[in-house]
Amino acid sequence: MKKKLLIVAVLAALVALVACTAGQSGSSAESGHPALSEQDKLVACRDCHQQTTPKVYQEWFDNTHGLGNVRCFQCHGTFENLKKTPDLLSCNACHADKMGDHRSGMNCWECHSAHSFAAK
Amino acid sequence: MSVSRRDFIKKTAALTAAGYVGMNLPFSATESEAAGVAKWNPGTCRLCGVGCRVEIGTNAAGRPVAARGITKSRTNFGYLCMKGMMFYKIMNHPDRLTKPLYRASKKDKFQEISWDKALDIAAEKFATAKKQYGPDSTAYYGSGQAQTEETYLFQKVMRVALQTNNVEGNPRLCMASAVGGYLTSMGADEPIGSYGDIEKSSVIFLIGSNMASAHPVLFRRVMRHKLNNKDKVTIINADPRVSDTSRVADIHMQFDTNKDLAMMNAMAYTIIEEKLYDKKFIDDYCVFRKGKKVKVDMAEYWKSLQDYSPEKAEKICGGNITAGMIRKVARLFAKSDGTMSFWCMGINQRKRGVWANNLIHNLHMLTGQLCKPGADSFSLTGQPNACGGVREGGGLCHILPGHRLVAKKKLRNQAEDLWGVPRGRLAPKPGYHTIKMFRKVNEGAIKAIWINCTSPAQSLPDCDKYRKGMAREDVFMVCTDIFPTRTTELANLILPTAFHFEKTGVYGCSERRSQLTQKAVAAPGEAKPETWIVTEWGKRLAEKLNDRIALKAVQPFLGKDPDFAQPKAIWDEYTQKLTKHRDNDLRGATYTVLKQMPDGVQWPAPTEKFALTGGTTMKFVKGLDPMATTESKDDKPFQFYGPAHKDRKLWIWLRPQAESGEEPDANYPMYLSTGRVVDHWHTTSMTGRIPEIMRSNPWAYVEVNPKDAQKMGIKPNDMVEIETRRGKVVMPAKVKVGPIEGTVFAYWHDMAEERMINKVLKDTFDPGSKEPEFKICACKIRRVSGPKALKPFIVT
Repeated sequence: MKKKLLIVAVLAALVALVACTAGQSGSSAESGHPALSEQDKLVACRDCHQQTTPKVYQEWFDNTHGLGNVRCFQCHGTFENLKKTPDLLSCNACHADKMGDHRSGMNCWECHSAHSFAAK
Repeated sequence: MSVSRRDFIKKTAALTAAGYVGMNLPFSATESEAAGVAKWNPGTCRLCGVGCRVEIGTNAAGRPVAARGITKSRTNFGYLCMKGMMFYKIMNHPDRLTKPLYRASKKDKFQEISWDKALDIAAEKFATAKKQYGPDSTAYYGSGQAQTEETYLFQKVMRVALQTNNVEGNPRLCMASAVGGYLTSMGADEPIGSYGDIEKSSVIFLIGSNMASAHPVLFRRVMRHKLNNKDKVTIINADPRVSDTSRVADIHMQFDTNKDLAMMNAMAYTIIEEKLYDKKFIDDYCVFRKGKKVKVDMAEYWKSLQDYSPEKAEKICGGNITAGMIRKVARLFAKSDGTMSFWCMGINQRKRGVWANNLIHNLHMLTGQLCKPGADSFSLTGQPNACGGVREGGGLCHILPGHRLVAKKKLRNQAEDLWGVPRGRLAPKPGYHTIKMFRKVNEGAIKAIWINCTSPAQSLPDCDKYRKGMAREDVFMVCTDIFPTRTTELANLILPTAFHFEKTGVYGCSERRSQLTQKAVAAPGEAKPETWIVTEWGKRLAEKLNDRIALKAVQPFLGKDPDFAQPKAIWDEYTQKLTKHRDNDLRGATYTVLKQMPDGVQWPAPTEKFALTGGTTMKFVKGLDPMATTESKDDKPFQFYGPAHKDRKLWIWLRPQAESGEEPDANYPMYLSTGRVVDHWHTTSMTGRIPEIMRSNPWAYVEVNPKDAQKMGIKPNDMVEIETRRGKVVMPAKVKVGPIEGTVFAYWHDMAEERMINKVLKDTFDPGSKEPEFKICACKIRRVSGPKALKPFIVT
C-alpha cells in the first residue's frame, strides 16, 4: 500500500512539474538563463536587462557597441544558443582581422572590458 | 535599484503565454559551432545599400554555418550589422519555396507543377496579353535586391520581346527622388564622392536619415570618425524625430514635420547674407535656375530667399529651430575643410522629394563643398542594388541601361543597335511608373504582371487598395521569390528562386561600387537563378509570339551554365556594350577583375587596368576620374560631363517651402510618419525568420511623443489605433522623445494585417520623381486598451 502511495505521489509530482513548466524552455541548466515562456522571450534582451542588470546595460549603451546598435544577441545568441560568455566566433564576425594578431590563447575581453570594450 | 527579470516581465505586461504561436526555427541553433567552417566564400551583403563585403562560411557538406566581414573591404572594413551576420541562417529555412506552384484561379489552392509547365504557362499568358490587349497590358515590377544581371535581362525581355517600357521596381519607392535631384542639380545620377570622404570630413550634415538604424555599418564609420576626433568633427542631425543617429550628433535640428525646405533655404540665406559662399566655384561651375529652361541670376536667387531669413524660418520650422541655430549650422557647413551631407528616405519619400534633394545640393554648390576630399552631397540608397541594377541597368520605366532616357530617340536607337534589333523595335513612350502601374492593375488594364523579389502587396502605400487589383481574376500574376509573402498570396504562379550566394551576380551599392558575389551554396529543391528562369521564359515567349526578333532578348545567353557562364555573359553584354562611353562606364569591371578585388570597382572604370586600382573615388575630378580627362572641354579641374546638363554646369535651384500631400486638419490632427528599425529588412520575409532578430523586434510599434501621450492618456505598451482616411491599424505604443510633438512614427516592417502600417498611408507622389510620400500623411490616434499579448507574424 505504501509502495502504491509512493508511486502515486511521484506521478503527481511529475504531472505538477510538467504543468508548471509548460510553455517554458531555455532552462537554466542548458543556458544559464532563467526559464521563460515563449511569450516572455519576445521581450528584447536589452529592455529586460536595462532593469535586471543596469550596470551591464549602461556599459553597453554608452560605448561603441551601444552607439553602433550592436545588439546583445549578436554576441550572446538567443535562448536556444545562449552563451553567457560569448564564443570567439561571434567576435570574428566583425573583428576577423584582430583574431590573428592578438595574443594567442587569450579572449578579447581579457584586455577589452566586456560591454564597455575599453582597454584594461 | 535593480529588479528581477520576472518582476520586469510582469511590469511590461503584454506577456502571457496564451495564444503564442512559436516561430519556425531555421535549424538547430548549435549547428554553426558544431559543424565548423570548411571554406569562406566572399560576396556582398544584400540587406541594405551600404554594400558591406561579407564571407559566408560553409561546412564540409557545403551548408552555410557562419558569416564574417571582409576586413580588406573599403566599404565596411570587416564590420557587419546583425542582418549581415545572420542572413545565412535563412538559407536552409524550411519555409523556402522549392517547387513551382500554380493555380489557374486565385480562389484555388496552389498545386506543384514542373518547371517546363510553369514556364510555358508564364509565356502563354504574357504572349496572349500582348496579342489581345497590346504590349502595355504586360508589366514587370522588380527589386533593388535583384542582381544587375537579373534586372538587365528582365528589362531587355520586356522591351525587346514584349515591346513595353512597363519596367518598374521598388527603387521607385525609395530613391527616385534622389535620382531626380542628382539629374536636375548635377546633370548626372549618383554621388560624386565616396564613403572614404567620411574620414576626411570636418562636418557631417545628416538630414532625413536614421543612419544608425538603416545603414548601421556606414553609421559606424561616422561614429568612429566623431569618437576619434571629438573636437575636430561636428555632426549635425536634422530630423523631426530624435533617433539612434542623434546620439552622436553635436547639434540636433528638430523641426516640425515637412518644414525642412524652409530650413535649408534659411541656411542658404545665411550663406549669402554673410558672404560664406565660394564665389569662384559658383562662377566657374554653377548657374541658377527656376525652371528647366528658365535661367536666373544670383540676385534673383537672393530675392527668392527673402521669405526664409533665419528669423522667418524659425517661425516656420518650429521645434527647437532658432535663427541662431540656423546661422551657426550654415557657418559650420560653409567654413569647414570638408562638409559631407547624407540623406535617405526622410528626404526622398516626399511629395517634394526632388526639391528637398535640390536644396541639399544647393548648399554644397554655393559653398564649393564638392569635388574635394571630405566634401560631398551624398544620397544613401536603401537597397543593395538599387543603384547598380535598377538605376544603371535600366530597371525603371523611363530609362534604358547606361542612364539612357527612353524618350530620346538617339539613345533608343543606340540600345537597338547594341542589341541587334531593328530600329523602331523599342517602344518610344516611357512606361507606367509604379503607382500608375498598380492603378492600371486595379483597372484591369494590365493583364499579366511579373513581380520579382519584392512584395508590393505590403510595401506600396495604401496597399489594401492595390491588393484588390492584384487579386483580380483577370490579372495574371507571377512571383519569383524565396519565401511566401503578402504578394505571393495573390499570385497565380510562384517560381522559387535561388537566394544570394546560391547564384552568381553583381550588386552596385550607394557609392557607385560594383561587387561580385559567386555561387557558394546549392539552392534548395528546384529553386533556380532568375537568369535561367528569364532566359527560358524568353525563349518560350518568342515561340508563343512567333517573333524572331523577340528571341534576340535572350539568344546570347541560352544554354549557358546558369551558375556562372550565363550571368557572366549577361554582365559582359551590359558592361562592354551598354555602358561603353556612358557616365557609368563599367567596361573595366569584368568578372575577372571583380574576382580579384576585395571590394569591387567604382565607376567610371573604362579599362581593366584602371578598374584594378579600385576605380573612381571622386567623379568629375581630373586625376581621379578618367572621364574627366577624356570628356574635358576646358582646362578647369572639374568637368561635369553628366548626360542631363548640356551646359556642363551645376544648377542651383529656386525651390520654395511646399505643403505635403495631406496636411493635418481638424479631423486628422497629427502627422503620421513611418520607417525602419535596425533589426528588420523591409517586409520581414527574411529577417522575420531569424529567431534572434524576430525576438529583438517582434512587431511594429508606434512611437508617440510623451507630451502627446500625456494628452491622450497613452502609456508605454498601450494599444493605440492609428486612423487615416484610408483605414485603421492598431499597434502598441512606445512613449519616447522620438518624434516631435504632433507627429507619430510607426515601424513599417510588420506583415500582420492588424499592424501593417502601409495600409493607411496615402499614395501621393512627387510630380517629378513619382516617388510616393511614405513619410507624411495626416492621422488621428487613440488609446484602445492597455497592453495585450501579441503574436509575431510572417506569411507561411
